[in-house]
Amino acid sequence: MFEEQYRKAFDQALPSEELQQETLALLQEAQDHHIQPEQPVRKWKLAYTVSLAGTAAAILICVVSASFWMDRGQKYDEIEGEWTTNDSLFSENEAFCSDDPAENTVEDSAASLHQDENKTASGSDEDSDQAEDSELKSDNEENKSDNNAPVIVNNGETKTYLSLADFVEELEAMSAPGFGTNYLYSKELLIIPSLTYEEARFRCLYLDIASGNYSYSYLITSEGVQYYLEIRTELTLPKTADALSKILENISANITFRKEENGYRYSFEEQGEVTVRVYPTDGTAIPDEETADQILKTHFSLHRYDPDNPCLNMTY
Amino acid sequence: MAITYTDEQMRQLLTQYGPTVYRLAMAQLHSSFDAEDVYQEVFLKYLRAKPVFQNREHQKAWFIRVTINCCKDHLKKACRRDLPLEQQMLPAASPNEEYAALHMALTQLKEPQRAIIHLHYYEGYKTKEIAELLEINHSTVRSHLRRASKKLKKLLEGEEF
Repeated sequence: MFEEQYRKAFDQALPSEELQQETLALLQEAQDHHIQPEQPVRKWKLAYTVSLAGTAAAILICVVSASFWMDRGQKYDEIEGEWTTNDSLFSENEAFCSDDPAENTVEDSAASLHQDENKTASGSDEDSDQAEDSELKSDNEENKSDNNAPVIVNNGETKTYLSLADFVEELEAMSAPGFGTNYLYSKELLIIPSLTYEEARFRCLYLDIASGNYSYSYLITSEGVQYYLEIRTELTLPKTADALSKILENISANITFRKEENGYRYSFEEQGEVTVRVYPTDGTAIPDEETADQILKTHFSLHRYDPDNPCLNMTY
Repeated sequence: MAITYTDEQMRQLLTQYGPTVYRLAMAQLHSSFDAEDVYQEVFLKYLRAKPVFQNREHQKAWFIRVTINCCKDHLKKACRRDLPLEQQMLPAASPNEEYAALHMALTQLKEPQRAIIHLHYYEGYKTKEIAELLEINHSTVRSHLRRASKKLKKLLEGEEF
């Protein structure tokens, strides 16, 4: 009885035609680029190498982090004589990107960020531009916190918390010679959250250094119901500016849509470089198709990276 | 000389082992989104490793083992995020409530139990074969299977919901 039920349930689970085509293209591409076969490595040798590399990386990270924070602390000391660290974003026992919307925490964070922004603005020489920005920002306190929300950068050893602006700087640094071409042009593919939506709250961004994939998550409210809007990218990074242009054109041109058991999935670009999922926070209030479309149109938009974008120029 | 695969060979591989890989990933991860990631990852690994097999059963066993390992990695990655992007363990796409309940019940099982249940009930492997595939004791497989079946039965009867 159970066996039959189980078989029936999984008979339905088949890879879609779209997935098969996408995978085939991926395999062809991988083969064309002459990927190297994995070399057999003895377990002890691997463990030894990993532990050695891990120790070296940990020491390096400690040194770099210490110098970064010392330098940053000094910079803010010069401006204001005091420095509030990013730790103020989180209460003592709060986990990052907690499932609990934590209204109070976000408001507190926003207030803290606002304070810091004002400090930075008052210490700067670029008065007129900053004043304008500051005015715009004060119109929408919540959005400020959205766009200053931290980023988790996972390099396999440690996680680093950054602002969006710092994250872009990191990507730029990784585009430099020495890091290969993995991150070249990646910042141009960043999806910048729009500033116009009052009820969309940027929750977290996660970047995995090893794979280059990154994901965003938003908590949004539509007609009193909370939904998650999750954006994932699979960076098949372009190696030339022309290839980049082509990807951007395709992103805006081709959107495939499909309904899933627990929400909706929109794929931008044929090969799924950008995928957006809309699904309810409580797992039950699945929106109808019209509502899902409306949520997507209201709460999401693609923007190309622009160094002048005020979203990216905000600092703690 | 490096082995290369023709388009036709790749297509055949996807047709032959794709469903097995995808279903096993779904049984492990309960998210079509993640299952698709694993599906692609497994075939890329195949392309990189270019393994040589004695027969088809051997080849299928390779796909199963690699899929299970990829799923484990995927779950580990999810754990490394302080809290995953919402709901790393989502109920899989199902045509109706009955199957949704089954998928939901499967999420209550521990990781090796999900694999064992799937390999036994869907792929039809005997417990001894599963033990070899997963490289664990035969008695452990039997005990996992017994406990998991019992738990699933209870869950599906609504006793623990």
